[in-house]
Amino acid sequence: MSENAITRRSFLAGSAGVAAVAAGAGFMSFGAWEQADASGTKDVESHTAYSLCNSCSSKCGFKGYVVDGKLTKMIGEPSHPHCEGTLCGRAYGYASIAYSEDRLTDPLKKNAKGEFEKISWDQAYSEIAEKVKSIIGSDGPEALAMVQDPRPSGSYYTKRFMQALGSANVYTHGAACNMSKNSGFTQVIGAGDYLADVENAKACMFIGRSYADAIRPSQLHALEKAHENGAYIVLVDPRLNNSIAFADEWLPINPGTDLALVLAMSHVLVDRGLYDKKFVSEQATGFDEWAATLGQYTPEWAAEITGLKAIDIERVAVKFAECAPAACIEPSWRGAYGCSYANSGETARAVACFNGLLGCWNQKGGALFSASVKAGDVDKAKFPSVPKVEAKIAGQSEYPLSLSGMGVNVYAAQLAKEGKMKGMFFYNSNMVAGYSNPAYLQECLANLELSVCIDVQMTETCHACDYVLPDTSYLERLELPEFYGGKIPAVAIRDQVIEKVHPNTKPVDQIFSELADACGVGQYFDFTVEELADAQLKTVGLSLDGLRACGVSTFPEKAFKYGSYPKWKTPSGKFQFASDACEKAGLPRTPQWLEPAVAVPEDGKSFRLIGGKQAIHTHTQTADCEPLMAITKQYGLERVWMNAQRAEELGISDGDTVEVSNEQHTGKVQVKVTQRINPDALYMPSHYGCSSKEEKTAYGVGLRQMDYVPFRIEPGYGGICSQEAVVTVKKVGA
Amino acid sequence: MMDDAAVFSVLSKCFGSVEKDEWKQMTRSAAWAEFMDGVRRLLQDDTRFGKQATPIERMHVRAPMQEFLSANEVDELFCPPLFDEKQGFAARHFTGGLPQSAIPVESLYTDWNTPDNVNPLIGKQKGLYLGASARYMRALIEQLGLEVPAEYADCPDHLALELDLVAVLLRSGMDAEARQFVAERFDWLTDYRLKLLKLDDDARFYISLVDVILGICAEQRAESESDQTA
Repeated sequence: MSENAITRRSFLAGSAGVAAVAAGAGFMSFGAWEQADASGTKDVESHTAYSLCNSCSSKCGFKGYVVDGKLTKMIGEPSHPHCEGTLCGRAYGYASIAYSEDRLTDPLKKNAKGEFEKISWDQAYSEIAEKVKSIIGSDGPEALAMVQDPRPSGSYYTKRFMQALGSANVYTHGAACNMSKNSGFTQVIGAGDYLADVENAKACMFIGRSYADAIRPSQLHALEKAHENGAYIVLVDPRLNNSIAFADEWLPINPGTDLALVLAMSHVLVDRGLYDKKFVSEQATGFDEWAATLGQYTPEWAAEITGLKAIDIERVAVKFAECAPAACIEPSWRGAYGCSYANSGETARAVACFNGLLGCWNQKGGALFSASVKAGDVDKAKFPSVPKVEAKIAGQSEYPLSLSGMGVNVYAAQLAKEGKMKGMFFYNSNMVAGYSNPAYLQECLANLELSVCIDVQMTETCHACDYVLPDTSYLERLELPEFYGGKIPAVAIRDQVIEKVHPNTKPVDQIFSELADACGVGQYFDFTVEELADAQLKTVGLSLDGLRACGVSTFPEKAFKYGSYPKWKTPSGKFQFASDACEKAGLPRTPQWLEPAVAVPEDGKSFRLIGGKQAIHTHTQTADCEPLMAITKQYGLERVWMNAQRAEELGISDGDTVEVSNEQHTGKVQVKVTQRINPDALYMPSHYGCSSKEEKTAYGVGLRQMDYVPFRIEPGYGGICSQEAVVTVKKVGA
Repeated sequence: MMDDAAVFSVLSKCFGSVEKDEWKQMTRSAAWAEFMDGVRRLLQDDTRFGKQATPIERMHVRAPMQEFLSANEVDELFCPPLFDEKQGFAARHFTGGLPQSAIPVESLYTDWNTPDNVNPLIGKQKGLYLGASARYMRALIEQLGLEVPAEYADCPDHLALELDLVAVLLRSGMDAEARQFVAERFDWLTDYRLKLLKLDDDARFYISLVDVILGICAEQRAESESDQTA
């Protein structure tokens, strides 16, 4: 090949040798193009597509408007059960992730120096598959694990991939989110969750949950309606959260003591005979056993522990009894007892029991078992079943109350540190930054023979892995249909809105199908996501084309109906005030007071560190999004909150830079001094302190709560104990 | 003698992905010397793209490259990387999402929107892919009857394509258009140069190339201004 041929070869004109444009071809200056672009005289393609937001786990439906290949507008879908036509700020801000400079664009492998280098997909697949086969050969498939934050396609493909390999170790983020709560509920009601009928409630208590901060628009709509209807709304939270706009009362409880409050309220109802005796006698088991223990949990006793007034505890309890059955404690999510303390699972159990005393289950304004619809069986010839894995998910024996559908993800990491777990995959999961102590988790992952992270940007977890595979953003792919429970169940679709931005990225279905092929189990993935989505929808009388055209479809014929009590899927078939499984796990048979694992020393300088969401972010996921981080910076949202009286005692003023320290970590940040927080608590928003330099917008802003949290797993339930951390605070330079 | 179009073509290939044989032949000493000679000419001859120099105009001694670039840069330019070195640099730096990423894509260094047409959803952001420069490049490439290669779908404003387009325009006799394009497009390279400077890796070869491109742009601008004055 001559030099001339080489230099004449053109990226744009191909190798035909011409490398020149046809005579008369039109050149257009940037200025001319800009003018046409602004005037709208250009002939541009436009279209719309329905999708689901990915900025949090609510997956709100929207219609995306695309002009000239770019997403220009998002309109919340009115019929979508989670948004009811309203999208929150995160939905709009997070959309720019598709075009972010920080997007991963190619498969990466860590080299001997610990730096990442681009490799081909073929190399990535073959090397990962070789290690997978080697681990299975030496240690069995149980030495492999997957951690994923559930998304429509991700949930299906990650599980199928692991099961095809013979491993039961598929974990969600749950142990670091809502698993203790769901597991505790399960012991009482046989279901992991319930729906508070907030809009029809006469009274509703929110413990550590704020609809106005961790926004799901439909829930906020319901809270607004309840408030307008005159419902009594009480917030139980160490921090006065933004839901106060729709609430009547704030109980600034000492962190980690919600269980004491609920036990004392239960005491009041039982002691005064204000509970629903018919419900208890007809539906429940173990009541007498529990009631016999409640005598010790007086409001005065609880006042000492919770920091609340006994008279308030009593008043609130009576108020709820008066409003029953149109009253309940809202199920909460992560904040107070999803995964926060050593007593989280037991707190959840007590909450469910208190709602039992109210007799509010499936009653208007109470606690509902919502209706649901799911896809039926699909054609086995086209979509062959993966052989059932007989083994239990690792951690099930050690944490027997944990829900196996979520699993104790941090236990899998601990096994890696012990050399028993050899290979781990992470999909859409930033375990290292958000699930427990990051330094500890990095050590765990460093011990693996194989670590693979699939994401859109270089998270701390990507950094801790050997291989990083670039995912498409949620706007660039079709996913499997998402089914929603609720008063009226629904199904919605995340369709591809824009063309793939980076040609060398791949959607999750393709990555796991190709990886399965490389691992020798490709026979279980011989179909496209379109084919499977269509097949799943056909089982509920719909089609992919049909759902693509409307975005959301509801099932009014399956709508929830008030009145009859739920079918309790517990071992006893009853509502369980007492649990054999809890007893077997070393816990009391009925909910009893259990101290948090860590006590705050009364030394005048110590605080319990608590986290919590802000309305513009979702954990660490959205922090690298420039429009959202701009709001953080504008309002100083990365500041920690300190009680005004405590601040005065420590000589700290609003806006000061303080040093927050404990044995795990030390860092500096500005402080917001406020009356809106319990004196024992220091609130550190859960979104900041990113340590991944690749996330240029997020890096270096604020402190990361998890850096201060020691690695700990809640006995029995497997939660990460995210608020079992004590810190000291001092003014910098003082 | 390597013509102007060929010089831009080689510059383009330095930032784009090429096959091993192609790079090997391009960087053979004789071929590379021709390229360097072409660079030297474009950096200093008082000639607009495509303008035929008169015998008088050609009668002067060309200054050495050191007049325009530092000695180190000249040394770097005379020793292009081996193919594996080029591939290694690209694997570490011409991929997205890493702290050491230094992708030569104009959108990442310029406003995403045009001043008069702001995407209501994305707003006034910088540092995003597929910004105004990318949309312009795609439109221009298509208007010229060419095609954005699939591997550059996310970045029609990749430096390799912008340089290649100059080569195509010159080869097509569209000298004035090439000059206008050069005048409009390459200002972002000063920011890109800073990015390369911050890398932990040895990026001197690529920094030198950027300085060459900026030098040629300055020369062409000067020529255009001098024409207008005349």
